[in-house]
Amino acid sequence: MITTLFRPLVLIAVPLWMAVNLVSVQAEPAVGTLHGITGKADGTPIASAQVVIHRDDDGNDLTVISGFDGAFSAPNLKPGRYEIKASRGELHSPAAIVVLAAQQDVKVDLALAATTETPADISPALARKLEVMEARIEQLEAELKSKTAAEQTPSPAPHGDLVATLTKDPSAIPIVPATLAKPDMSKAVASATAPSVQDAQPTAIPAAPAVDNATPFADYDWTWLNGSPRNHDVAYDSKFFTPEIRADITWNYDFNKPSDDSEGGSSELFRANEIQLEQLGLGGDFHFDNVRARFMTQFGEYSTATIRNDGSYAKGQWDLADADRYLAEVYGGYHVNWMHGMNIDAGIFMSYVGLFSYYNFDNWAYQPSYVSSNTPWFFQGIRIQIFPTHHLKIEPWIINGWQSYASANTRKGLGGQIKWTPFPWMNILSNEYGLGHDDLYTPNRGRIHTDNSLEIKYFDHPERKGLDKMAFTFTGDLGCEFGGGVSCHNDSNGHPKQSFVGYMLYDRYWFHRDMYALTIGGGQINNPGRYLVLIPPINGESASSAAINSPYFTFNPGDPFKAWDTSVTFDYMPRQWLTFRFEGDYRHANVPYWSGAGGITPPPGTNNNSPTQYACMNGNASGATALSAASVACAPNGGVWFPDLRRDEVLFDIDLMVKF
Amino acid sequence: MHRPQLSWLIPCSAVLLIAAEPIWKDKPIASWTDEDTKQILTHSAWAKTVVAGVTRRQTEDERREGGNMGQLTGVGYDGVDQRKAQLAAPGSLFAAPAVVVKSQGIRLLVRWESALPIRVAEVKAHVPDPPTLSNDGYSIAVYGVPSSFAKGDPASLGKPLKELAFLRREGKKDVKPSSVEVFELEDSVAVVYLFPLSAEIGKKDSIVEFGAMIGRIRVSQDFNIEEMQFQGKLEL
Repeated sequence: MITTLFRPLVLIAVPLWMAVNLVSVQAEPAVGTLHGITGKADGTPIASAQVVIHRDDDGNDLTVISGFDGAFSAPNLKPGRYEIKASRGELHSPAAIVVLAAQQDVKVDLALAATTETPADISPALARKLEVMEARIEQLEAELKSKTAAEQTPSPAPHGDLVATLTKDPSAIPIVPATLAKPDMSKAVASATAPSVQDAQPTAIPAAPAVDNATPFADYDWTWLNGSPRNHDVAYDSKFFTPEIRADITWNYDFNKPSDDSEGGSSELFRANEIQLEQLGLGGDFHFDNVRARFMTQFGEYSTATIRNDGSYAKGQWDLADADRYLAEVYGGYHVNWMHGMNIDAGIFMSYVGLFSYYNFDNWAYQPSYVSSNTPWFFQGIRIQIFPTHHLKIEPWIINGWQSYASANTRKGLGGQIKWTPFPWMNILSNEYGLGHDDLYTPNRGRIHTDNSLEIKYFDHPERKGLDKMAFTFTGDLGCEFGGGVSCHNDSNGHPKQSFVGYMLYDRYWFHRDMYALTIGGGQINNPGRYLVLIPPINGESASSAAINSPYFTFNPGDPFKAWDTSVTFDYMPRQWLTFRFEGDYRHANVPYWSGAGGITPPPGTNNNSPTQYACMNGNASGATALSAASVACAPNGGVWFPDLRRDEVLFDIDLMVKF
Repeated sequence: MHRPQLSWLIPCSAVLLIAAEPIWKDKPIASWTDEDTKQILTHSAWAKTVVAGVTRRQTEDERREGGNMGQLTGVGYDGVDQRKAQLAAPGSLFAAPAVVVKSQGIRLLVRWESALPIRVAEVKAHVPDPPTLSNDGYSIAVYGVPSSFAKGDPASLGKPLKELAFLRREGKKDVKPSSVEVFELEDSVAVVYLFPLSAEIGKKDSIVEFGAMIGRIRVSQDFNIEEMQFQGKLEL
């Protein structure tokens, strides 16, 4: 039965398919060519003029630079109406309008003139130059006439003997005019011509796409990478300073509807059902004489939400949290011209542990999975970047600790990144960390971590208006803590296992010449001991207070935490500087973790500034860190208050992100 | 009715064109016309027009990812394409972004300046003060590089380009230039490479490739040594 139905379809479809392919193979390419010369009104060619060929139908622009002889050529142009203009410095040509048909080769000569009147008199310097040139010509002519022919040699003769080899009859040499044939450039001319013998240019092999094989990661376009901004242009730059401005505004709807609008478990989404400024970043790069500096601010939610995940500043004085809270990255350094470059920088610099960028504009999703969201966004210390080849970066770090402004204990952290781009479609990133003792008030507990990412672009057709690009990323992390009462693998001394295993996978599809994109992804972690679990901000809990006591969501050795999440992200990117993002997230944990309808703030909805103690139902601190004692203390106040924590969270967010 | 077959004319014409000897083979210098001189200086065995590729401009983020900061300026960087982003027309927020091709390449002239016929032609054409280096060697000039805002003496401007050029022959080690100089012309820049005579380029080398990176401009041109004979002698 199926065969009976299928056969007629095959009989129709196969010949149709073959016919379509035949037509497409035999069809002549429906393109034309524009060529011409840029020059002055007197016909003198102007080299290196910028010729902008604008196609009216679709607004596409093509820029070509005229050659040493003023000639330019733009092959493979679609038929249509074109506006062609040339400019070079103060010189500009009027626009030439050309209607180009398929298979047509149209010659367009463009005459450039100053837009403002220039003095007709020749400057003394130019006059002097002309005199020198004239003298040189006379000298050469004199030499030409006075010398006799001599034997030619395979190696270049000394220049002084040049004319000695010219001719046996120097007087017969005609003196040709200094200027060779010039085209009529008195006006812009557009005429359809078949290539003539005179017009035919010498065979010049068309330029293959040139590739920079010296500058690191300059050989191909890497703006598709997750964690890299997609901008293709620089809005403004100068020899000394290249500014950068970022604005990130977000609104999200939490289907748990927390009464205090407060969310936990994320380093990207913090407040529910409110329009919030995530980050205003102002800064840029300073660069001069191989000395470099960079800074970027983080006004907005980042200035408080990132800081609270670092407990190290609670050790000792000088309030580093306040000192650094508005700075996302600040460093200075020196660039050494060694191999393919080497930098020595010190300060606060970005971490790409977990692949995603700290700046959401650069990412494929707003809420990354735990492997990224729970691992460092920044380090403070010294960073050395070494580029042995243009495809490889080796970047060791000597840092205060794991995402920390200070050192939680005495031991500093060591780490590093290796980035390798073996193919134009592949990026491999590996981050390693170790040595540091990063648990506040727990000396001698070490931490090791490895984070490895693979990014592959498996489809790329930038010319298409439909689906034009596809890529995926995979990140896998392993880590553990040891010492101070915990171990990496439930050791024989009874120290519970405190480890981190996680992965995330994202797949992204770009459409309509990268104007739209759809990302589907998610990940999973298992983090017994919860040392990388983001502390829910219950009653204002932060990393520093949780290091003393976290009564509601504990961080005891061996405490289990498993979670997974998935997200769907749709990006509308009408300009390279602007993204509108629409994202849905589902997150699940094996223990109550996410903010529920009751919220995570004690009554009446304000912190009591004692996050290390249980709170009472009237909002007051119980004065007790143990539940039994708190129950007694809170009995007159309606009992002990508990946050509303859930195992599931569903979010939908809309984000507006700008990056110049 | 039988129609005459004229298709045989095509290969015959091609053979005739190929068979035409270039003017520098036998034509006496005294008989060179303006066109002959022009041809030697621009389209001959020693002078080739090449459409050089231009590498893509990196954004500041890409520069920083590669360990650098700031856009590079100078010879081969200035004027090779549109530096600033083009503004899209308003009201087109849902139209597919226009394909903006920054540069398809730059037409350059690569000329073997030290070759006798080139020097002869320059004299006959009254080319004023050709930018040749004072030392002896195989001198190759690249004309048509867009003007640069960089200022300095020719040698210091050319120093960064020295390591990025070569003469390549099959089965032999690449020859690096002993010096490079950059000369400002009226509306462009000429880069002149001097390769040492110790390279001993001879007829056996058959093809010599000149390659150079001038800022973002990548130049590559083959020279056929067999063809580089002037009145019966190899001229380099």
